[in-house]
Amino acid sequence: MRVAVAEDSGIFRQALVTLLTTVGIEVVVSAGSGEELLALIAEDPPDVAIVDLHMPPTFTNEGVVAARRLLARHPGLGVLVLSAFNETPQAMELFRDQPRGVGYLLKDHVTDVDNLRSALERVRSGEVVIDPDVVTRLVEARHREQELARLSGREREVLELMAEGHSNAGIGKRLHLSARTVEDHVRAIFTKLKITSPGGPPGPQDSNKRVLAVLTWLRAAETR
Amino acid sequence: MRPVPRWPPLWLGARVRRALAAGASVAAATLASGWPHWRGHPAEAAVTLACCGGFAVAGGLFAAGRLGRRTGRWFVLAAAAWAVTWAAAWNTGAAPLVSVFAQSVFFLAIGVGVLSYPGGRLQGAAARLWTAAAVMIMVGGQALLCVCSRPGWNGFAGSVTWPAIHPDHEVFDCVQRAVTAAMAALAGAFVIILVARLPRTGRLDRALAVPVAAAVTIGVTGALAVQGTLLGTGLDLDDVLEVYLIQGVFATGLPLAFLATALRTRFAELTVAERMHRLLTAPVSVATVRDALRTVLRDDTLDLWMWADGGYVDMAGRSAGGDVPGRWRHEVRTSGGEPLATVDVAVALRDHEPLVEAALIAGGRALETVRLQAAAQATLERARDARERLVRVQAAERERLAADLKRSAQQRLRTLEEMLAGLAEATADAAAREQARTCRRELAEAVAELDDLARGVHPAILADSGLAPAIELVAARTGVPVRLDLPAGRFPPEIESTLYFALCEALTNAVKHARAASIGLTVRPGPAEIVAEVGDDGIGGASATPRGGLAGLTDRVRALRGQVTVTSPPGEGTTVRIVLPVP
Amino acid sequence: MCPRWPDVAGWTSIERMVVVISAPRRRRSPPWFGAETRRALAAGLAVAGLALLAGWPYWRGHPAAAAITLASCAAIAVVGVLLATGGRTRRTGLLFAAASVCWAANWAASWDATLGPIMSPYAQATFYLALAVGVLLYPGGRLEYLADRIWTVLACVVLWGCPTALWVTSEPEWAAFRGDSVWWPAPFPDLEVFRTVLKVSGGLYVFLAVSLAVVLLLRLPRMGRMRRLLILPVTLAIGFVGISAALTQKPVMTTSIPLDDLLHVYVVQGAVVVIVPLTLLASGLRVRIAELTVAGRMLRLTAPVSVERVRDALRDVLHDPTLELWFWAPMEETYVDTAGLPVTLDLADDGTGERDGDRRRHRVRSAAGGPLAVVELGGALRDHGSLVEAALVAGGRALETARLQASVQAGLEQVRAAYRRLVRAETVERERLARDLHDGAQQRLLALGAMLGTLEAVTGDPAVREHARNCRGELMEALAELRALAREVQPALLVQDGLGPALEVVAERLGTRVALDVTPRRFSREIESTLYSALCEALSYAVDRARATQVSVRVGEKDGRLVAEVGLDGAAPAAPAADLAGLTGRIRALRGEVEVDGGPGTGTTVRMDLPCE
Repeated sequence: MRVAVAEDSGIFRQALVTLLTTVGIEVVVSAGSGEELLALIAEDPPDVAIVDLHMPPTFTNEGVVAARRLLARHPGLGVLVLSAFNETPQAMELFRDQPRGVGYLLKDHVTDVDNLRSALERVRSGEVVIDPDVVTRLVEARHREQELARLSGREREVLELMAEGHSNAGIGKRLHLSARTVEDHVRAIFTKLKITSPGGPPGPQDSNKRVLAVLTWLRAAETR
Repeated sequence: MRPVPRWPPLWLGARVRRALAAGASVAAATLASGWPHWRGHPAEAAVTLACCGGFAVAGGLFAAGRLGRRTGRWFVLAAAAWAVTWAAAWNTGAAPLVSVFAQSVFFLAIGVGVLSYPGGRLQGAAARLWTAAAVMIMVGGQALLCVCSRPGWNGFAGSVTWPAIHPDHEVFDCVQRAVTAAMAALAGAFVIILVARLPRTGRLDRALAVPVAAAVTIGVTGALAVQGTLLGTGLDLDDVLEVYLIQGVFATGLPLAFLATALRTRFAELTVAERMHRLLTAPVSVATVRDALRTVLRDDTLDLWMWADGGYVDMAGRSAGGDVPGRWRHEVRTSGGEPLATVDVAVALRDHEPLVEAALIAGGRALETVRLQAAAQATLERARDARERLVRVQAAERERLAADLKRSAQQRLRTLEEMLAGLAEATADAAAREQARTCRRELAEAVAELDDLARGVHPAILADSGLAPAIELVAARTGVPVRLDLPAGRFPPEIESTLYFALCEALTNAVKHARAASIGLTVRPGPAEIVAEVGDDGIGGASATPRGGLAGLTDRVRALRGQVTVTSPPGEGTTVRIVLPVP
Repeated sequence: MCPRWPDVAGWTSIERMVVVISAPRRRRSPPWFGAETRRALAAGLAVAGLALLAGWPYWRGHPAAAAITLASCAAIAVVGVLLATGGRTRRTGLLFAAASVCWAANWAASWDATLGPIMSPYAQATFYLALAVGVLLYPGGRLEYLADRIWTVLACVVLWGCPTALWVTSEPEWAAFRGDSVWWPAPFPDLEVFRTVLKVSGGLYVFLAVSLAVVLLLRLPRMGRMRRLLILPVTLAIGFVGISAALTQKPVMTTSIPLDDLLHVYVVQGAVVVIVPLTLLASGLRVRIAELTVAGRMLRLTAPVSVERVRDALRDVLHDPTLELWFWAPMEETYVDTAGLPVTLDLADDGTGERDGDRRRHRVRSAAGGPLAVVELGGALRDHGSLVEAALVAGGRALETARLQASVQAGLEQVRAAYRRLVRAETVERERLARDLHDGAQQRLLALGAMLGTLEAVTGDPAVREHARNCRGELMEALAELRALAREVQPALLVQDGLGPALEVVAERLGTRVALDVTPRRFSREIESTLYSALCEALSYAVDRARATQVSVRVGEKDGRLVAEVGLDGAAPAAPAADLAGLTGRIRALRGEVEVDGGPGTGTTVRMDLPCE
């Protein structure tokens, strides 16, 4: 797998590149900002671009902007946005248009090689990846409000994995369930929680659209 | 600008015009009734007309005024009676008879008028008794005189109408002497009644009453003395008229005295603001306002309560009681109409309401200023308190923050350090050992960075050991020799942290900007304040108003009600002096 | 009693007056009975005594005439001496005093012996001359106009020439004097000539009286309003006196009249003349009363106090609509106009200055002697120094009050500005610290995490791998704590996205349902930072102290004020205000207000309201 990295902190970038190289992932470009990355990979796009969320000049949402431009310029390119903080609003911003091949990962979890490799692969294959911590916090918030009481324990697990961007197959693999069982669970969850997709009728099958629908539902708790 | 009406002028109001009209008509009546005499005596005419007119004018002014309306009416009546008295000059028909009784009425009216001032009624049994006696003697005695005399004995022509029922020279003589003696007694009683009244009046009233009493005494004595010359029977008309003239002149002094008193009152009302201004010198306080009011209103018992939090309180903060009998409570409001104060004065001052009003306006303004000043000062003090509190809160927060920085992450990182050390030792794998070493280096860097951050927020040594060790540490790291003179004791945290950062900044400035070769740093705690000084032997010429790093610290020092002064003559080094009060 | 004019040399020299609001002048005697008054009364008595002596033969038979004449003589003398104590009216006063002495001397004619009769006509003439010139000198102290001077010369010639012509051409009997010892040179007695002289003199007297009236009338339009108010009554009085004197003199301008007739005319003239000094006295009184009442008027006109009101009040009280006032601003150390704009004034060091034309400037000083204001007045007020002084003292009091308010306001503003600077400095420092934590230590630790990951990857030893994973776990914990700290110091989101998103994060972590309704508008860093920490405090109060299960936070902006409301359903503990003291202090420091409503069972509302510039 060929990867490009955009990260403003030299120390972390160096460590990340070393780590990726060590585990056999080829780092073709290593840039200090989103702009630089865009320029360097214009000719020969890699499989996945890893972009830091906070980069100069404003240290706000440069990563999101860069991700959008990368996706627009290079269809089929996977983009993994890294953030040092667990910030839900930024993540939601990233998934607003139900894109393909986008991931949002906390930097803490990047240090786990398996985690990183799996996220990179899923992004490359067009899946949506959301850091489990982000999902966990959203689910916990709803759980506190008794909204999720109607779900069974298994269904809650399925909901979390759905929110992390896993497909039915992925969920089944992780929970050791059959694809059909997972599908039943998903349908039950959508019915019980009355989740509606913003982009049309609920699509339990399209995992990327599903992520957004679930995320939206989870997030809605705060303003409801 | 407010338009000022030009006509009629302020002093020529309706009451003045009416009084002038009364004066003119009485003067005209006098002219008509005394015409035969005036033809030969123009000077006397002028004097009498002026006196009669003046009498009537004064009476008219009183009758239209606030106080002594009845008195004024009595005086107008007296003036009219005096005009009629001059009818004697015609010396025919009933004129002389009318004249002698008119003279009695004249004196009676004056007496009653004076006694009924200012209340409008005869106050006290003495006054009523005197009036009854006066009616009997003046009118009754006159009637008796008429009955037992012929007109010629009184200086009139024989042909005039005269009720001479029992003309008898002996009797006439006796009666005349008796009546004159009775009249002298009456006059004496009158003066005694007036003098007896004085102690009962207020100080302000007394000042006004004394001239009137003096005028009455002089007038009465003079009138009696002249009347005495009419004893005997060998009179002619001119003698009688001359007596009338002189009595009239004497009597005129009385309304003039009243008028002067009224003018004085009005003058006092108009000038009371000016007097208050003179008495209210800076610094004005509630007490000075009260004392000024006491002086101006001549009432030493006057008391003042200020409005505060929905009630009136005195200077000691006690709230005002209810209404007290014999006192008059008057409310003072601000120019905006809000309650400001209440003033308790002797009830006698109710007669001088406009004066009290004018004095209270001037005093009220001063009170308003006092209150505004106090309120503004309190607001300022509150703002200063808030600022001081903020600095305390900030200092405490910084200390806590620094402690948190050290405690939380550092603890875990130390554990991590041990774990990494153990890992490096445990493994035989060279690559892993190398990588572990890299990790430890990185960890050491991170810990050092966190340490730096914590020190920037609030050095641990400052919190743990106090100002002296913390400054010693800083001085040791400074590249220039620093002579230290530091107290060993501890101070409140906000003072320690403010002083610490200010002194650090001063040291940095001395090294960086002043190019000093040696620096002296002293901190001297006193009973009331701590004085810290940083002096160097550098180039001097630093700006008197410190900019940059020291500016923020100056704000903090000032917030703690301290002072920062920078003395920096060019070529003679710079001294930064920080004075902080000890709470 | 009479106005006291400032002693000045003349119109053109620099006129100086510095008004100092002084401590009260303690007076032992009442204000109307000063040394001047006592001196005047003594002079009046002296002149009355002189007149009594001079006219004694006549008075014996005419007490009423005596009263009138003595009173009028005394009155003229009193007024004269009173006026003589004033600076500008000094000459008028002296002339009046001289006139009263002349009038007393005039009565020497009644003795009908020795020098009395020949002196009397001169005394009478000098009396009228002194009176008329005195009035012409009033109130400026100079014969200002050409007509005045011409009339004065003419009057001197006529009034002294006619009596001379009289005794030159007559025997004493013709001029009413029949005493044996009368000294009457009579060098050219000729009855015909004497008659002509009498006729011509009578005509000249009438002419003088009429021309004086004309001269006085000519002066009026050239004067300012305040001056005209002073002059008009005196003009009317002297005009009346002059014409009545000329007319009453006419009948006695025949030969061989009885002495009594002549003296009788004198009585009448003396009685009439007394109205002149009385009018002057009334004018003086009016001026004095105006001075004394000006404080009260200023007081009424300057409520509530402002610099502009003081100026308008001065304009009103001094009848000068062109009056200008500049106020000393101690902070800026300059004079400012009523709108607060600084002006540069050209003032001499002694505090006075003269402008083009008649305008003058006065510097008003405070009780402590420091500068307070500068007033520019029209020239018409130069005769009214005491009035101006009284008005400026009263106005100065009001100005001092205004300044007091302004200085306290300025002090307050300064303290608040310092407070804001402190808050801002703290905010900036927190931001820097947060960024340092984020960019420095955190990145380093994250890199360390990646390195541990690498270590895990490079080693084949499962024990080492296990060990490295543990290390990573410890590191993640440390990072989480560091982040929590950084968030507390200054949430990155607050700087980036404002209150709303930052509060979302807080709400997420709170463990209680929070309904957020926060305006997306951004405010200054200090306001956002203060409000953020205040809201955090309120939220933790809601959860920890009030045990709320439902919390709502509303932040909105209305009419330039930022309103934040925290509503909670929990029963508020006893003293919510005390629990929220820190919050209250912070909000109040930004000139905001905090209200805590609610009681047991009804929930609690914390309402914060602060201005947002």
